[in-house]
Amino acid sequence: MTGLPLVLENVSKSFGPTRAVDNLSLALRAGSVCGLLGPNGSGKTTTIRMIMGILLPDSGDLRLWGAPAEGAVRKHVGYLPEERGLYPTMTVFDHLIFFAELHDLSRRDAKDAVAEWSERFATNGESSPKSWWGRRVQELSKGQQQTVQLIGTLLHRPGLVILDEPFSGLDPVHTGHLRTIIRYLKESGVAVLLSTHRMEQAERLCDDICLVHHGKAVLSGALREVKSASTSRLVELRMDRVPDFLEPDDTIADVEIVSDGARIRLREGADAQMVLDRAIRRGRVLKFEIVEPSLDDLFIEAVSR
Amino acid sequence: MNAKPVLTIARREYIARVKTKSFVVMTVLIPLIMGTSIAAPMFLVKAESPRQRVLAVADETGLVFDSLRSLREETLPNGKPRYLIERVAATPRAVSDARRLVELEAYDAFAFVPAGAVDGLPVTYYTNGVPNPQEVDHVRGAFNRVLIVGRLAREGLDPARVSALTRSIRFDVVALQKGAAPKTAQAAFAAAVALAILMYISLTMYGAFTMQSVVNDKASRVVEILVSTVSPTELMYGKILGTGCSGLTQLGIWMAVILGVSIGMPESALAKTFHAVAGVSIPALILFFVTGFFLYASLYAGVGAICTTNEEAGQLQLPVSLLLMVAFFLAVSGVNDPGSTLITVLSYVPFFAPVLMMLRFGVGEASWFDAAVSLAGIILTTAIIATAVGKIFRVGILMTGKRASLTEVLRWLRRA
Repeated sequence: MTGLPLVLENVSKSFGPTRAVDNLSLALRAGSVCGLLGPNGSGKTTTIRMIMGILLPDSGDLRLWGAPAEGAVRKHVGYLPEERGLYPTMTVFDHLIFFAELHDLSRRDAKDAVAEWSERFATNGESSPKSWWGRRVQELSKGQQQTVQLIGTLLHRPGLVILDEPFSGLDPVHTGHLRTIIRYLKESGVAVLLSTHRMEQAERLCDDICLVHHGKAVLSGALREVKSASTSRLVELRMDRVPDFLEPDDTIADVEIVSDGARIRLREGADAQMVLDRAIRRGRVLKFEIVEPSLDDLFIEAVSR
Repeated sequence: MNAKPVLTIARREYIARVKTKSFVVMTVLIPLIMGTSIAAPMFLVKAESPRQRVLAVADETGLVFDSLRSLREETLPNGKPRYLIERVAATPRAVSDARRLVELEAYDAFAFVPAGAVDGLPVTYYTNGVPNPQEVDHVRGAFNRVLIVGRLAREGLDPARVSALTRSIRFDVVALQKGAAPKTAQAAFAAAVALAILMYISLTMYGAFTMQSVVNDKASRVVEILVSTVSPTELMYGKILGTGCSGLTQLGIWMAVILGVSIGMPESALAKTFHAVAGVSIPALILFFVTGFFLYASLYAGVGAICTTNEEAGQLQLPVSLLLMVAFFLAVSGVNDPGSTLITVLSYVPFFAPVLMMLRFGVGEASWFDAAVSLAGIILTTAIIATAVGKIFRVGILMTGKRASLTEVLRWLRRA
């Protein structure tokens, strides 16, 4: 198992006339988190299903640790599907053991792994998954089922973890906890592919990103570089009045009014001072800041290009 | 394909099936229902009979009435005669009165014997409502005997001597097989039919369970994780093996009960059938049963793989059920002539072989070599079907909401 944990080269997949994934390339390093980002229906899940061998690509190359992504090598991948599935009448413990054994763990190793990961998933002030072991899956809450599914993904210590929309249905406490787990995975050298449409979560976790739109990668690379390479320049303005006098013109490309202020995207080569100048003439400026573009901004920029 | 994931999936499937309440209930209930359905009619007949029947007879011949000794001598369990036979004058008036009395339930039945009865004129038997067929047979037999005796006597023959000379001969059938003790063919036939019935019932039941289990995996979406870790073929083998073993467990429990009963009550019909079954080669029997079981289970799994809901699968399983039914009826009709060309040829066709080859082998028509050839065919077909079903399953896995058409299934098979 040498080589990058995951490499996609010019992968395409069509369903009838629709091109779900169009010439997508992607590389994932060990010990890094890569965000596969994009709106719903942009081809994220199709890409992941091809990596997991559930769908076959029409063309292109998929490699796991340098080997073709098929057969036994997939057992080193931990996969959390977007549509979660557990056997409702099995007990949590039996189910976790089943997941571990599916990934070729011996019964003893499976038991150790279940105990260890149940411990790790004990959130502060909440019952540890260990206390649900004897309960049937159908008796658990949605969030608890999600936790069980996630533990099942990690039991066999995968070198590559693929999480498809892992934040969906999680409350803020569990979301925070999941971020901790993802950071832990990254620190222990695991490569994580995080598919989500929640840009703010990706922004907090990802080293690299791949923004997809209609199956095409519209923007990819290290998050920091992507951001600094962005031509977008944004200004956050707060005033004692609603800055409704700002409208797109030769300086301003786009204005978004937010409660007591505005997020302003400047045109290329425009001077931010011009905007400040205009604002001062219309009222008291409480805050004026040139900010880094968010992933949302980058995405909109990339798509509109 | 690896054995470990197959076993992991099979074990989960097995435990999930055996642990359910319905498994326990069925294990207890089915022998109970079968026992009751055999015992109840016998019990009912016994409980119903002890009423005395009043039978009126108008006899124009003058031969019959006094000779109905066999009916008069019959007694009820309480020692009273079963039939009270009353004479009715053979006049038109008396006859029509007697018929009225039957309608009024004063008589249970009224028989009119015309003067020409000995020469073939019918005896008319009037009963109140729909008659009990057994009783009619019984009474008819008595009248028949009396009238035949009358005929013989008229020809100057001694009825006792005629009946002694025309009694049936004995006819014992013994099937010989090289290297095996001769056994009565009757026993082997009974055993083969009993096994065919058992196989039919358990295959329909557990085939449907395999199908459901496949559909449920799709419905509960567990399938996405399963197929991303194990190959679809491994998954199919695991499912068929797990459900199959749970079925064999249930059958094993029933067999143990039957064995217990036949040891406890060696004279019962159950014990006799069991001994007959035991007279057929046990290893061959188990082999054909188990392989046949898995063959049909894989077909049912295939139905599950192209469906998305249990209702849909229930409709689509009809062809498989029909195939099974044909095999079953062929076996039952084949018992009459297990050496016929049709049965011989069909006993090599994998879908019919489990039942038909078992039958032919059981009655000594087929050799170990024939059995081995047909067994190999069954196993090979099962492997091919399970692999194909795995492929269909793999492609059909993400189909929800719409059942695959036949052309789509064929395309999937080519592509996967």
